[in-house]
Order: sequence, then structure tokens, then C-alpha cells
Amino acid sequence: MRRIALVRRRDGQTEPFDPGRIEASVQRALDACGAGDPLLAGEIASIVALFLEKTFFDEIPTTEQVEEMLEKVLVETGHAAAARAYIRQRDRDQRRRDAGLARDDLRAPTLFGPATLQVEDLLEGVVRGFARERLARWIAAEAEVRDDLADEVAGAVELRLREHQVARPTLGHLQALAETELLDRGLVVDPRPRGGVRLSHGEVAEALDSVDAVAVDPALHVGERVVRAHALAELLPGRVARAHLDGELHVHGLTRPNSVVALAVDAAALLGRGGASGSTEPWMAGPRWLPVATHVLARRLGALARVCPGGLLVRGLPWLLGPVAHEGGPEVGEQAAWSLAHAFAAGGGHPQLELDLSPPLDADPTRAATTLGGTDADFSRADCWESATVCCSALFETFGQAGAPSRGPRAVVAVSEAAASRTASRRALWAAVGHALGGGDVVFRMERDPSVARAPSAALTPEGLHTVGCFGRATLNLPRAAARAGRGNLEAFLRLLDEVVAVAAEALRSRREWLVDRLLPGGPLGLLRRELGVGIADLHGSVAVTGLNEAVLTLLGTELHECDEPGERAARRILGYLAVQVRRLALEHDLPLALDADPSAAVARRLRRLDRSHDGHSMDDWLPRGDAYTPGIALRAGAPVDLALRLDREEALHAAVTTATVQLGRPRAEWGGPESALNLLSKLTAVGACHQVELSAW
Amino acid sequence: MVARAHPVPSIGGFDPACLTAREGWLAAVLYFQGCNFDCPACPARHLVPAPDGRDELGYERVLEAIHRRRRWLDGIVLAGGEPTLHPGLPGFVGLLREFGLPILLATNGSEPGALRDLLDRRQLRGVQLTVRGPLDPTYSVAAGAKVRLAAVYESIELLLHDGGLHQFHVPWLTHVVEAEQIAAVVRMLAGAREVVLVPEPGSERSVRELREVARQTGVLVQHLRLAGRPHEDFGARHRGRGVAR
Repeated sequence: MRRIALVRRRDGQTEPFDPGRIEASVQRALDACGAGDPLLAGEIASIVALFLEKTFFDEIPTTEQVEEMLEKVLVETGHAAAARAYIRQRDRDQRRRDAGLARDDLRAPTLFGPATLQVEDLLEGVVRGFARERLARWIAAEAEVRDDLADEVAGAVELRLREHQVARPTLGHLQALAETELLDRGLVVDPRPRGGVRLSHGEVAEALDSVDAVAVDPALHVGERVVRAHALAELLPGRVARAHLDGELHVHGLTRPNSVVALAVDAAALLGRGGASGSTEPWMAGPRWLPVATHVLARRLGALARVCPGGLLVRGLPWLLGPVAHEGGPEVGEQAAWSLAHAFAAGGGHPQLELDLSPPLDADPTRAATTLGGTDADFSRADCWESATVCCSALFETFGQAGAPSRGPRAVVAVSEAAASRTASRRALWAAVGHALGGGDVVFRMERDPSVARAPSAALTPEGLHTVGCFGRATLNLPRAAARAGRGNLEAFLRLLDEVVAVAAEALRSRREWLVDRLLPGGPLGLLRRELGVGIADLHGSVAVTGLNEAVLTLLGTELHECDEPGERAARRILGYLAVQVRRLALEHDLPLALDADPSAAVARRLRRLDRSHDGHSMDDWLPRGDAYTPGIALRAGAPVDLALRLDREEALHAAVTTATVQLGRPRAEWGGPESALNLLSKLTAVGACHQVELSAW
Repeated sequence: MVARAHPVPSIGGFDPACLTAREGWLAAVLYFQGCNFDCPACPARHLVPAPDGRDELGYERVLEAIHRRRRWLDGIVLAGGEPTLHPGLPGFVGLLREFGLPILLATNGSEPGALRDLLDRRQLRGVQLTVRGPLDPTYSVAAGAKVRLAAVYESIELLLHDGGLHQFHVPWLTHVVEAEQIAAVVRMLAGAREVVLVPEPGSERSVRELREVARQTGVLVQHLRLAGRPHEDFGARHRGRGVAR
């Protein structure tokens, strides 16, 4: 009987027959069913080799034939459980090969495939399959050891990970293990500082060569990557960092840990009038106070932009400008509005600056007199309305005339029944609608209760929480949880959400703890405390959702706009359940939390990209085309529904969340002028439940 | 003898939420099939042929769609084609009134009998009558068909003497009608509650000239506007208030 010398691989090439590999396979199969015994594995492997010699004495066996023989021997020697484990492993390997994926390039199959060893690269923000050869190459290069020793150390690291069932170590963890193994062998590794964050030369070169290098400072770009990696590795709990990298959720503000997500400030307080200090600065009494005020406002907003990159709402601007127009006439007011708009635009603007240009309706007129600098006692409320709305209109017209409305700040306009019915404020609203339909960035906030304090559009003040901003946000990836639960399995979906919401709450708790010290007067965010009197108690956390449309589609087979009554009920139930969970966690952790809809298209795009890399594009079979999920709880932008039906569907969902925006876009010719759109907005205030509306025309 | 009910008018098109049918309204618009005019600038020529039973929308579906959207709608607009050609219109309007929404009829005024019938029944919130030119032979050219001018005149008189929120639309076909003739039309409509002059699409010149016409004749009617410019009112009601520019 001739010994087996060669095996034919799947690609047709031959390679030397290695009985050790058969033994290793048997060992893995036995380990998987809890019967690990090296002697037994060796015996079974020798039986397999014997049968192969008997069967293939005159030909070269293929890899499949060897594997089939191994299965057969396992079954016939009474190791059925090990045989089943081996068959499952073969099946998985076969499917991977069919998918054209090399073992080393496997991407995090934790949710959609079997568990394998994976490595998290926190700097890159990606998860890669563990490759022993790659680790050996790294060890050989870094520790300057022989290749065979590097291979041995890499094998020992892999063994240690498997022994301790560490499924997903970080790159740093892997490197530390390798160094420990080398030390065990008496080799002192080059003690160069490892550092938590590293950037390769290629990444830096890429940032420098980027076509956006003019618009985005490369140093800023590279710095953001470093800070983000540091935040993931050091500032967030491991569970949260893993969930973020994995795409279960998205934690906002990682590139700027020393910042708050959204904040509402008073224009008068920014100028030092009626602010926290209540002081009045000398220049305010001078004859040229208006240009100085404009300059000071723009400069202080620039300083705030660094600590509040996500959304900064400046309130009370009409109150500031109204008296100016009242004193100097409409021309002076328009001039003030013009210079303010251009001061913002010339300074590069604030990416998320929002100016609350709501017509001042029910505010106290004495406040206007204070803002005016004690000018007037006979300054009536009606005068102030008229003057302030002139300025509002002038601001909108100025932004519109600038030729590039995207450079101007985003305007937030409150629409109430009263504002829509009064002549002066209606004219300002009409100008705002015209500005929006002309391409300007305007958010219309439905204001049903004028006593509610206005907060940035990114984070309205939640009911029962009297805050002026938001310290952090974590967005849940609803389509991912739906895909894990499977079609029709709403209950399993909700159970999965429990886990993700808990992780989100943990993320927000850690962020809040991080910010507490920084908001002290001497801390990095002390500016907020000193100038505006904002402390951690004034801020709430936001658990947001995105991709409700795709989640419903995955669970029920229909999109939100196609949903019949059970579909609508399901969507409402998901949000209602989440709202309860968020409230429960808020009480449990003593955190001010609110449930929001995340309007960010960038987040929706990132989560979709991660899900694609996880499931190998199979979700594309049933999800709508596109590179992003539908942001928040909205209907898909291109859904074939009219305005009324869109409003009907979306506003029913708004009741469950604190902030959500309805995007109403139509061809310009179908809007029929600002009057129709304004009428629609006032109707929404009167009969609807939606929070915010954005109008667009193309 | 038992009177047989007229059939429901055939609906050739339906827009469940339209912002352009009437300035300031979110309206459901029903387009009826069939028109006795063949205007050169008609935006819906497919509605001109008489109904033949094909490609019609079932009225049940239309009613259901209106019912679902009723809380957002400001009203229902009946347009065409020419709605008044259908003998079943009054009955259908009665059905629509069940929604409790105001109903607006857009007509070319060629059927004053049907119009009078609807006004007498008090079923309509308002009528939007399109006057295509002065009542002379030019009218038939602008309408693309032979028009009974007496009928149109009767419809105009009917609306001028009725108290409803009626509106006269005067589209300007620049190659058929002169600017002076548009002024003559406005003079003919003297005393009307609201007149809207419609410039030719994309023509800035027609906007300028119509604005001039509006300045000259605005004093004759209560509200005189240009389409798409609701805040420019040249009518007598706004004279002296500084609104018209």
C-alpha cells in the first residue's frame, strides 16, 4: 500500500499531504463538541490517513475527498457530535468561498454569520478578520525576530485569545499580547512608546492630497481622526465603543469630546445685556453701538462655535433689532439686519448656527425696553412687533440676496396660530417662507404653547425637562436590529432594542460624567458657565433613532408610506416602546434623557455602509436603493405620496419623540407661492402634532 | 314617470393635495373629462375629448382619497375639462359636500344654465371663471373653438350679481390678445370681487405689461392681482394702503 504523498487543492494545484492538518481539524471538531482530547484526535487522524491510503492508492485525492473521508470516519467511530460540528464548519467555509471572501478579509460577521476572531482597529474605525500571518509579519518587523519565531508567537497569541474566548480584541490588545509572549521567551521588545493612537504616513498623505484640502484644513482633518480614535479607546466604555464601531448605534461628538451637541443662547446675554452677569459694557452707550454690537456678536458666536459644533441657536434677535428699527426707522433696522447677516457670512459662518427669527409675539415688551438700553417707556408691544418683523424680513431678504444662502445661518422660525393671523408677524412669516422656497435654510417650528422655551432644532426641550441644550446624542440603528430579528418578528426586535438602548444610555452617562468637570468655571468649557451661566444641569441627553422606514420595511415588508393600519400601529408601537425604555433608563441612571429622531443624513449613510459590509449587501435585496437609510422617523424622500398623506403619516409618529422634522419638498412650480405654503404651516400648527417642518423647492 | 338620476361625471384626473389650484389653499382637485373649448395654451389637453369610458378614475377611490386627507384640505376644486357640461354635476357636488369642505368650481362660463343651477342650490363656496379675452371674435380664437359669447356674458353677469367668493381669471395669450384688450376685459368685470391676471408663463414682458394694466384698471374691482403674486394687490380695497407697488 502506497502512502498518500500529495493532495489536490480546490484550485487544481497539488500540495504535500500533511497528516497534522487532519489532526488539527479533528481536534477543532472535538473541541467544538466539548470532547477535546489530543490523543483521540491523533488516533482518528491516523485512521483517516489509513482509509485514504486504501481508497486512493493509485490517485491523488482532492481536498473535498479528504474532508469527506474525515466526516465518514468521525461518524463511523461513534463521534457523531464532532462530525456534525465538522460538517457545519465545512459548510461555513464553503459559503465563504462562494461569497468570494478570503478568510483573512472577513468583516465582523457577529450578527449575520458565525463568530470568528476579529480585530478592531480603533484608529481606522473598522473591524478586520484576524490573520495570523499578518500578525507574524508585524512581530517580525517590530521586534526584529526570525520569521519562524514570529510565526510561533503569533500562534501563541491566537491560542491565548481562543482560550480566553476573546472574540474581538483591539489592535492594541493584540500587540500587547504579542509583546507578552515575546517577553515570556526572554526577548525584550523594542521599548518605543506604543501610544494609543497611530496614524500611518499614507493616511496623513491622503489628508494632504484630498481635493477638499482647500475647504477643510488637513491638520484639522487628521486631528479629528486622532481625537476620535482616542475617544473610542479611552473615553467611552468598551461596550459602547464596540457598538459604535460595529454600527449598532452611532455616538455623536467623538471628534469633539469637549463640546455640547446643541445649545440655545440669548442674543442679549451674548452682548452682555441682561445675561448671566446682568452687566452693561461701556461701548453700548456710544453712538456707534450697532456696528460694534454686530462685530461683538459675530466674534462671541465664533468662540461658542468651538464648544458647540452641533447646533447653536441664538434667540431674541428680533428683540435686539426691533428697537433699533423703532428708534432709527425701518432703514436703520434693515441696515442692522444686513450688517449682521454679512458679519456671519464673512466670518465663514457657523456650520450649525441657527438664528431664532420668530416674530416676537407674546414676550414681555419690558424686556425689549431693557434690551434697548433703558431708552423708552412708551415702547409698545405693537411697535416692537412691527419693527422687529421689519428686521426679520430684512434678514431673510439679505440672506436670499447673498447669492449663496447655504453660507448664511440656518433660520428657525416659530409658527403659531397667532403669528399667522396678525398682519405684521404674518408678513415676516411670508418672507421666511419665501426665503425657504428660494433655497434658504429655514426650519419652521410649530409652536402650540408659547410658554415653552425655544431650544435648538437639533434638540427641542423635552417635556418636563427645562434645559437649554443637549450634552450628547447616541443614535440607534433600527434597520440593523430589524435585520437581526427577522421578518415579522416585532417582539424579538423590541427585545434587541432593549440591549441597544441600554448601551446608548451608557454612552450618554459616560459623556455626561466626562463633561461635568469640564463645565466648571476653570474647565475647558468654563466659557459656557462664565458667560452664559450654563451648567450640566441645564443640558439633557438625546437617545435618537434613524432608519425607521427601513426597519418597518424589514419587519413588515412595506415601507412607512405604504403601511396600512397594522403597519402604522407597529411603527407607533416601536417608538412608544422606545420612549418608555428611555424614560425607564433615565430614572434608573438618574439622567435627563429624551427620545429624538436623528435628522442627520451623514449618520444614516454611515450606518447603512456598515450594515452593507456586515451582511454582504443582502439587505439591498429588500431595502430601497440609495447609500443611506431614511434619516429619523421620516418617510423616504422619493416616496410616491402627496403632501397631505406625508403629513398624515409622519405627524402621527411625532407624538412619541421630542424632535422630528417633516421635509416637504416639491418642484417650484407646484408650490404655488409662499401664501399656500404659509397656509399649510398655519394649518399644521392648528391641527397637527408635528414639531418642525422644512420646506424646499427645486 | 320616474326621473332617472344623472350618471356621476367622469373623472379624468385627480390631484389629492394641490397648492396651485387656488392661492393659499391646499385643495383636492378633480379634473372632469371633456371640454367644449380647445384653448391653444390648455395645460391638460388630454381632458378635452369627451369621456369614452376608458382611463377614468372611479369616483369611489377619489372620495376615499379625499376622506383620508380631509383634515389637511382647505377645500375641493372642480376643474376640467369643463365640469358644467356634465348633467350629473349637482348631484355629485351634493355628495362632496358631505365632507364639510368648501367647494370651488373652475369653469369657462359657456354653460350659464348649469352655473345658475349650482349657485341657486348654494352648493359652492365660489366660482373661478376664466375670461379669455374681450367678448368679440378674438374670444373664439383664444378659446380654440366657436364660443357663444352671450353665454359667457351671462355667466359673468351671474357671478357679478352673486354674493359668493367668486374670482375671474384672465389669462393673457400675448399672440392673440393685446394688452389694451386685457384692460377692456377688466373694465367689463367692473365691480367684481376678485380678478387675477395670469401672465404668459416665462414671459417677464407680459408681467410688466399686466402690472401696468392692473395699475390703470385696479380701481374698478375690489382685488386685482397678478397670478403668483398675492401680496401685490392693485384693487380698490388696497388703494392708499401702500401695499401695491
